[in-house]
Amino acid sequence: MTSTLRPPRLRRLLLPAAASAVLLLTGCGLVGPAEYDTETRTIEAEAGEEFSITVPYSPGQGEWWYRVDPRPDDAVVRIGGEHQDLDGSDLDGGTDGTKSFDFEAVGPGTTKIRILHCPVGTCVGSGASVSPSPVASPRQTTTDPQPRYYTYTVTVR
Amino acid sequence: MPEFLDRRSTRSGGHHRIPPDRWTTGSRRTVGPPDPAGPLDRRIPPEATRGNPRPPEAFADLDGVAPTSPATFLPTAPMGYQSAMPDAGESTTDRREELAACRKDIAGADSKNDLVGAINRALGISAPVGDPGVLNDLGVTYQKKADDAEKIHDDVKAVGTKGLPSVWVGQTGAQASEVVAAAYRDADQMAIAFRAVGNQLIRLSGALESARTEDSGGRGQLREALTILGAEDGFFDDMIEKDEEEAERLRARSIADTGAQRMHQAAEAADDAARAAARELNKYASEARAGRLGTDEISAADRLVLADTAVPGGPQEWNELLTATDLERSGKRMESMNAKDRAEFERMLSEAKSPQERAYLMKALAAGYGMDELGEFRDKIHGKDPAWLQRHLTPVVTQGDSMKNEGLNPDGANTNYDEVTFNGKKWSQDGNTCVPSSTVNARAMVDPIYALELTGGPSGQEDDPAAFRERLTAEQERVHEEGDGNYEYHFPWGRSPSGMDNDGKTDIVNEEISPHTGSSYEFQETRSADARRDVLPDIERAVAEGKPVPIGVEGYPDGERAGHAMMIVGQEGDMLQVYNPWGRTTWISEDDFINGRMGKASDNRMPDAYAVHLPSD
Repeated sequence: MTSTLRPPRLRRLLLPAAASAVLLLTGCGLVGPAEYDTETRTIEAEAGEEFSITVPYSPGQGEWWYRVDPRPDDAVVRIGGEHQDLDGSDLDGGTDGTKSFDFEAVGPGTTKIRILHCPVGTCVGSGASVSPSPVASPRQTTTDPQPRYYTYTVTVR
Repeated sequence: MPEFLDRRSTRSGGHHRIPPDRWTTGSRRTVGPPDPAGPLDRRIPPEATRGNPRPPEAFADLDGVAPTSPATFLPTAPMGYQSAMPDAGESTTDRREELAACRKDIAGADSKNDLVGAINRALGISAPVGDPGVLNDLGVTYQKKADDAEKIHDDVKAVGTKGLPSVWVGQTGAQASEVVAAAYRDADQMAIAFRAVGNQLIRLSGALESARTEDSGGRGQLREALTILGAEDGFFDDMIEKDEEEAERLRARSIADTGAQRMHQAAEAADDAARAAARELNKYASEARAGRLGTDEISAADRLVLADTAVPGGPQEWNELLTATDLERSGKRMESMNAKDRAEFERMLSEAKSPQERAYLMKALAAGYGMDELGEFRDKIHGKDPAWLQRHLTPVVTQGDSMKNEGLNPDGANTNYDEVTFNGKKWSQDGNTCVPSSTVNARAMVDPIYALELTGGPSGQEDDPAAFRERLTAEQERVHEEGDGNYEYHFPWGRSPSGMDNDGKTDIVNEEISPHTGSSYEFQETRSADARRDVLPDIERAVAEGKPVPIGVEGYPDGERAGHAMMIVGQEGDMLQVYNPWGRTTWISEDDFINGRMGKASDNRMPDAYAVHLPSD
């Protein structure tokens, strides 16, 4: 049982870093709406500007991402659609990609957006009311990946 | 010595053996529930008992039937039902599918000749085969035998409640109390099995009778339609159809359509009934496990206890430690050992501190290891309590409430599932390694020495979940490499696993699991409901015998394919227990498997079981 491979968990660290490099470009508005990952959670936008929160996404590993309550202030940010961009694969276990949540800056002010990351089997509920399973659940183990909220602060000028 | 043990010892001439004709499956029988040989022999057509290769009519739908044991009703993989119609070469499933096609042809026939042709094709498909009367008689016989088994159960219970001296009665150290407890449970299970088998045969008889009646009615209507139509038209006649001829054709078509529908429904009913009967009989055959340990080197008392030993943490009947395959393979290994090795192994068994320790030694023997490895393994587990042994050596424990339907999560997954953990760390995939991860877990289920390497480390004594997780991840990566898995590359530093194709999966299941169960795996695509229905009996028989069955599932979220690998590891009735390398097990029904509801075992992004790897021998 030897392995010469770097543990795949490193990928999870690398992806956001690589994504950030891309975002440095897209965030400047050179190509399409600005995209933000889980590393950059302070967003500034002009009224009328569209932007997305885009996160790495692997259905084959049972993970989900949700845009959850509380909703952002409608007067500042309007919620748009959500979409996935997957690299389909003929393999078992090879489908990765990204999940994006779209928004539009509406009017001046500051508000917050919450995204919830649910590793397999760690959340309950549906839609915007999804929440982490109660910690006391006997089915939850404490040493495995846990659900995590990402809160973004959006300032619209 | 209690009367119970005395009685056995006098029958067995020195050894404390349980008379096989009383409550075991017969020490030399390889498969099958207890064998009521006498009464059954009288009910089997004489020609079937004299080596006639043609199965008795009553069992023809269940293929490959020999006369004296319910085990012999078992369909032989993967030809589950295919000798059902030896003359026509049709299985019950073939018949069902062909009649569905004929129905479509009849309904769509827009000429007389097309209609005549379609009707004749339907009539050429055989009626459901089998003798309901013989099946019914057999069912009644089994029910009577269930009464006998219940009497034995009561007798053994009486012995158990009298109290037993703490003496060793088996060659390998099974205590009298353990033997009696095992015999008590075995007799109970035997009664349940006989009763269920009897009921199942009677149900099959009824279903077959109804199906044959319905089929016959349908055939009559097809013939009536042919009479209306008359002979096929010649070339020129066929070009022109008068109004009255068209009216007659449409009337005949309507009658034929109804007839074909009745035949099709009869075929469906016969197929469903045969499938249900095969499933139940296979299951009970696999549960008659003590008889699988076909060696005289272990006494009947010891065999009984070994077959009865379970891991703690769940109901005994769902967590028996030795599978039918384990028992059969370990028995053969013992038979083939030289005298020195056999004496050494028997010493290990007799010195075991618990039935579980003894059973794990047998499981390691069944997994194919030699004496050196068995000795090392024995030293590592000797004297450990049953909970320690379970934690380190048996990843999957089935909980008593695990089959309870608690509904679905919003993502389509079963709410009710069991985590598969070692001291809180899941037996789960790290990264995109579902294929190697499900394979690693399956091997750990059939190979306790391998399981201990992962959980207990090189010394076998570790209890550290973090160290276990590191070893598990490294092993998943090793097996991923072994199967030539795909990688995702990350500039500039390296790569991570990113899925595996079915060729690689075939390689690793044959490399990692097969040597320890004795069955090689073959890939089979199942991208239709009919294909999945067809393969179910083979899946169920394999898992009932203790051979995990790898499955591939897929879906198309947002139009892009996502595939995932899981493992079927158990079966009860019409339910299948699925291990998902996300670190959990749950139960799905046969209907879920057939009809694209595999999301219950993962989530609704991957609902279809598109392929399985079946143990081929």
